[in-house]
This record gives sequence, C-alpha cells and structure tokens, in this order.
Amino acid sequence: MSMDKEMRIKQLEEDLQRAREKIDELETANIKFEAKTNRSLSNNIFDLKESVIDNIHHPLVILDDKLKVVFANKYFLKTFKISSEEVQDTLIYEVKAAQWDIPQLKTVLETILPSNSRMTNFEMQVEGNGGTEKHLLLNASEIQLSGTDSNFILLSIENITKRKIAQNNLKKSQQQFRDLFYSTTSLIAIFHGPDHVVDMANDAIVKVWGKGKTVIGKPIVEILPEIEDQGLVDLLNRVYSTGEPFHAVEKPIAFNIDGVIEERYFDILYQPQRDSNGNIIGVANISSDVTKQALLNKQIRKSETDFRQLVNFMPHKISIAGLDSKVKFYNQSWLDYVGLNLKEFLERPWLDIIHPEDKERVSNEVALHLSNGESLETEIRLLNKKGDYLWHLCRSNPLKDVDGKIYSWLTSSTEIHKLKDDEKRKESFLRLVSHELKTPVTSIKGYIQLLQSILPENVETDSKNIPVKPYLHRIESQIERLIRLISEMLDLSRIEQNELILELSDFQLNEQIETVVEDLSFSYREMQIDINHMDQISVNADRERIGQVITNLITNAVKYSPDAKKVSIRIFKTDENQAAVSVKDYGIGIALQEQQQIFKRFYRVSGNKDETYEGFGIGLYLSNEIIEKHQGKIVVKSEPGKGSEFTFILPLK
Amino acid sequence: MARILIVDDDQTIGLMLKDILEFSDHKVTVSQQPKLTKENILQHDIELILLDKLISGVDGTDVCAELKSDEEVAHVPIIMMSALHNVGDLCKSVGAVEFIPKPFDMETLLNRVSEVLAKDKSGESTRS
Repeated sequence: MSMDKEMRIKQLEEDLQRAREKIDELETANIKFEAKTNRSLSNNIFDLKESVIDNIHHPLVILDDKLKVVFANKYFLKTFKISSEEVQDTLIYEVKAAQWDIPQLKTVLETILPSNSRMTNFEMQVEGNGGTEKHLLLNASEIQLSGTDSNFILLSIENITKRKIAQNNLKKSQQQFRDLFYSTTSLIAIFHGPDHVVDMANDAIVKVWGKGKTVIGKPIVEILPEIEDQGLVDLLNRVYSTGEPFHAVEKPIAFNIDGVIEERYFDILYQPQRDSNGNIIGVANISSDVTKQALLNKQIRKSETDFRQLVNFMPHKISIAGLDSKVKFYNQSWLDYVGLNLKEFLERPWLDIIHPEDKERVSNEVALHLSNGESLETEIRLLNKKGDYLWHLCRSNPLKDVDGKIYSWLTSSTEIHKLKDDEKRKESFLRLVSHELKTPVTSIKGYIQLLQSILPENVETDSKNIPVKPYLHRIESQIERLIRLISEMLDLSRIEQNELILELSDFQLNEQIETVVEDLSFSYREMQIDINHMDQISVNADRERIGQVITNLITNAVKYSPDAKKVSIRIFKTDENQAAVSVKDYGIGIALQEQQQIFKRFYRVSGNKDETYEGFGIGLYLSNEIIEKHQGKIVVKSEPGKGSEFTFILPLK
Repeated sequence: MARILIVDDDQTIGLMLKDILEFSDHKVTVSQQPKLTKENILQHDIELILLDKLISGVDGTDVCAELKSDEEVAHVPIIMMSALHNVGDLCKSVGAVEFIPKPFDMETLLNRVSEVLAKDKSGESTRS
C-alpha cells in the first residue's frame, strides 16, 4: 500500500471527522440558541443554520419527514453537479443528477429513514453509471427544530468509492504480503526488542526450529536455547545494538530436535528493524537453508584436497596451464625436480627449463597444440636442480567444460632419460649387429656369385659329377633369406623409433613387381608365380619398400603353401584413385579369428600339422606399416584349407 | 681394364672384391689403411676407389671429403660402400660418385664400376 493512498484515506477520515464535529457544534449551538431565545423558529435562525451548513465541505442535505429536500448545501450541489432549484422540494431519491441516479438509494432511505431517523456510517455499495462500482457512506440524524412540529433529517451522503478502493487495495496488498511471508521457503522471522522476542515467524522457519508452532511472543533464546552457545544470540545482540546488518554464507547451526542434534547450514541475514524515527526496535532474520548445497560443497572441497594430494604424491610431473599457456599449478614432483617452491617456479617462464636445442621445436608444437586444441605428446629435455637436462615424455591435454569449451591445459611429464639411454643403446646395438652380420654375408654372397659366374653357363656339375651349381644356388637363396631377416630386424627397430622414412619416387608398379618376381623365382624354382597385369599403373611411392612388401607377400604365400605349386598376382585399379596388388595362394589359409592378428608383431600362423614356419613373424607387420605410411591399406581374404589372398591398396595422386 | 683401389678394413671383403674385379680384368690394390689412401693413389696411379664408410674407427666420408679437397687426387672417382642404412645421400654429399649398399649383387657392383669408369673416361676426353 502506497503512502499516497494512506494519506488520502487519512485526509478523508479527517474531513469526515471535522464534518461530524461541525454538526455536533451546530446541534449544540441550536440547543443553546433555543434555550436562550426560547422563540419559535425564525427564518433568520434557519438562515443562520443554512449558512453554517453551507460552509461545511461535505455533501449535506436537510430533508423533511417526507424525505423531500428542504435544503442542500453547496458542497452537495457541487459534488453531484446539480442546481439548488433542481433539488429543492424534490424527494431525495428522485433528485436527477448525473452522479445521483441510484435506484437502490430510494429503497434504503424509504425503509430505514422513516422508522429510524438515525443512521451512522451506513455504507452501501451501489452500481454507478456504466456499471462501475460505487461506494456511498450515509449518515443521518433527526433534527427537531423548535417551533415546528415537523421532523427534519440531516443527511450526509458521501461518495467514498475512491477511499473504499484504496482500502481494498491496501487489504489485498496486506494479504499478498502475508501470503508471501507465510508461504515462502525463505526462512523469515522478526524479533522485537533487546530480548529478541518473536514478533512474526513464517511456517518455513518454524519448521526448521522444530519446536512446535507456539513461538510468537517468546524470546528466541527460550525457543532455541541451543543457539546461545553457538554465538547466534551475541550476533543478534550486536545487530540490535549497532544497527549493522550481519551476513553469513553456509553457516552451520545445530538444532536440538527432540534431543537429537541436527546440524544444518544457512545463508543468513540479520537486518535491524527501525521505527519511523529511526530507532532500532528489533531484528529481522532472513535466511535460507543451504544444507544440501553446503554438504555438496564440503564433499567437493574434500575431493579436491584428495585429488591435490594424489597429484602431489605421483612421481609424474603434473602442471596445469591457463588458456594463455601460463602455468597455474605445479605438483610436488615438479617442485622437487627444479628445487624451487611453487611461487618461485610459477614466476619462472616454463621455456627457461627447456633444453636450448628443444626450445624452438617445443614452442612451435605448443603453439599448434594451443590453436588446434588437440592433445600433444612430445619428448623434451628439462633442466633439473643439479643443472642437468633429462629427457621427459610430456603429454598435454585440453580440459573442457560441459559445453566442450577448453578452459585449461593439463600436462603430465614423465622422466624417460634412462629409457631414452637404453633405447639409444639398443638402437646402436641393433645397427652394430646388423652391420656386423652384413659384413660376412657380403663376402659369402660375393664369392657365391663369383663362383656361379666362373662355372660355364651350360655346366651343372663338376668333373666328378658333383652338382656344384645347384648347391651354390641353394646357398645363395639361403643367404638372401639371411639378408632379409637382418633387414627386417633393423626395420622393426626403425618402426619402433618412428624412423621408417619413405623415399618417394615415380615408378611403374608393374615393372617393379616383374623385377621382384624374377628375383624370387630363382629362389622358388618349383613354384609357379603368375602375374596378371590387368592395368598398367604408375605410382609415387618408395620403390624399395613396395618391393619389400611384394617380396613379403610372395614369400608368405610360398611359405604357407607347402603342398600347392602356384601363386597368382594381379595388378589392377580399384577405381581412378586407387592401385591394388593382390597375391593369392592356394595354401593352408587363415582362420577368420586369426585374420586381424596376423598384422601384429611376432604373430605366426600355426599350420594344421603344428608345423613351424621360418621367419621372425614380422613380415606382415612391416608390410602393413609400410603400406600405412603410404596412406594405403592391406586387406586379407582367406579360408582355411583353400588359401589366402592379400591385397594392398595404394592411393594414386 | 682399370687400376682400382679398395679401402676396407674387412680383409675378406677386400679379398672378395679383389677376386671379383680381377676376374673382370681390373688391376686391384687392397688397403686396410685409410690414412694411406693418397699415397696408394699416387703410387699405383689409381683410376677408381672403392671406399668403405666405416674403416676401423675412421669415417670413410671424412676420407672421401679430404681426397676430394686435395687437388692432386680429387679427380679420382670414389664409389662408397656400406652395410649401414640410409647413408647413401651422406656419402654422395661428400663427393662420392656412387653408393653401393652391402651386401650387393656382383652384377650390380660390376655394372656400377664400369658405368663410373666410362663416365670418367668421357669426362676426361672432354677435358683434354
């Protein structure tokens, strides 16, 4: 309810009061006058009265006992927009006026006034013009004028519609306030005075207090003695005495509910209450129960602490960087490694501890990683507190929120220095082994080929009929096999080191396959190797490596066809963009469940007689790696007992 | 027929190369001493060198680079050989005219040797 409306109602009430006082004065004056003069009513006196009534700022009429208007004051005429002539000697309810055409009024006046000429603050609701609601306040009193036999009625008819509407609005607004106060889930109580006597308490807070419904009029400490020790009464006292509001978030308060202590959490506001002079008269408590949220927050904080401890215990170096790539957190392993505390280390740019030779590469990798949002895995030499750079494997992953937006970067760095040293030693050992093995093989191969060339073309045996040439041929094919094994061993190490580098050139696939098959047919004389050149295809690839793949596929085909005598090769285009080479054998085949395994390292197909087959079991693994490096793929079709067909597909430019 | 110097610390490979090349009527000198290469070239009037990449702790590429920067012997073509992988480009970058990976086919060796000799002859004839 606005002040404005209240003021107006007050004004109206004061007006009415003044009017009544005037009437009383008038009556008193009249009685005094009669007593004094003891004369019959003279026009003068009546005139005097009329002039007094006329000056009252309130609609008034004087009626005779027939309810005819004897006199209507100026205010009446003005209010109801009617002239004195139109009113005079007219029955009050027949007075025609724009504001004054109210049929119900007749009934009221006819039934009430004749029998009971007094009427005090009679309110009636009538329908005004255009169906609008109208409220009238009627006051009537009988006046007897001495010297006359007639009774007169002084009637005031007041239009109180505006006041009434204002009152109704006030009521409505009060009701809304009450509804709000009592139905809100916010906990509201108003305490009065220094003892914090409960003036108002809504259902929600009464329920939380858990001490029943009879709380109004009791000091809070009487209702909740348990809060005194928790300092809450002191807080209320302070607010009451200083006028400073008190605010707290997730404040735990323990309630004693039937002897059971129940701890709950509240967001609290203690707000001082003042009267119109600004003096503190009480304290309003406006709180919300945030127990669920507080418990959840507690759990989150605990989990965060656990996580932090876990991260600090880990031997891995963990860091978290913001979107600007500035590090916000290093775990204990990091701090131990660099020999700095967190503050010191955070102040140091992370590039500082990276080996000068790695700096540029790492900066570029990180910049790319930050811009494309993909995970980064890289090996970096990092400076420790002793001044040594040790190799680390660093993995960085973006941390994303629920909408998939990156908010920071989590990096874990693992020291791999020993591993790296071991790898280096292993790699150089393998290179040495390969070199050392190849050296005698080179001499053996050279001499075999020299011997073969010395023997005349058409002579297969020597003078003692010993088949020297076939023997030399067998030795040569075994030497070739040994050379392949040495190469495979080195290639395997290269793949592991990611050092298998392709040397691309344009060449005729058909020619290369012809060459490989020609070389191999010396070794596999008893095997018939057919080539079907369905298409002539030129490719851009590593000629030697592709040759190696074909050699592998053919050697496998021969190896796993102990009883068959034929291998078929097809060279064709699957479409404009793909070249394919298939090698088909009629051997033991591969069971379906083994078909994916065969591309794994060291996997070997076992034969039906539990035979073992020569080789390291890395031929297909190597071939697959080589073809994948060319962005191609190898597929296998096979049926046990019927044979296998391996096809490699290379993309054409 | 050409005068060929073989520099390889593996005695058997040296002998094997000597045998193969001599069967093809070349005159062959074998050395296990990379440091004496220049002396050998001059002493035997060498026309082609077969140089191993790794010779008892000495890097053949250093030997090759040194010979190529020495005016007296820079004209002698050098074919480098190695059982190491992926060193062909390196060897060519220091002046080797060819690179042959070990182990090799006899035919490949002989072809390369005659190719280089033929090229060298034609180069000499244009020079003279």
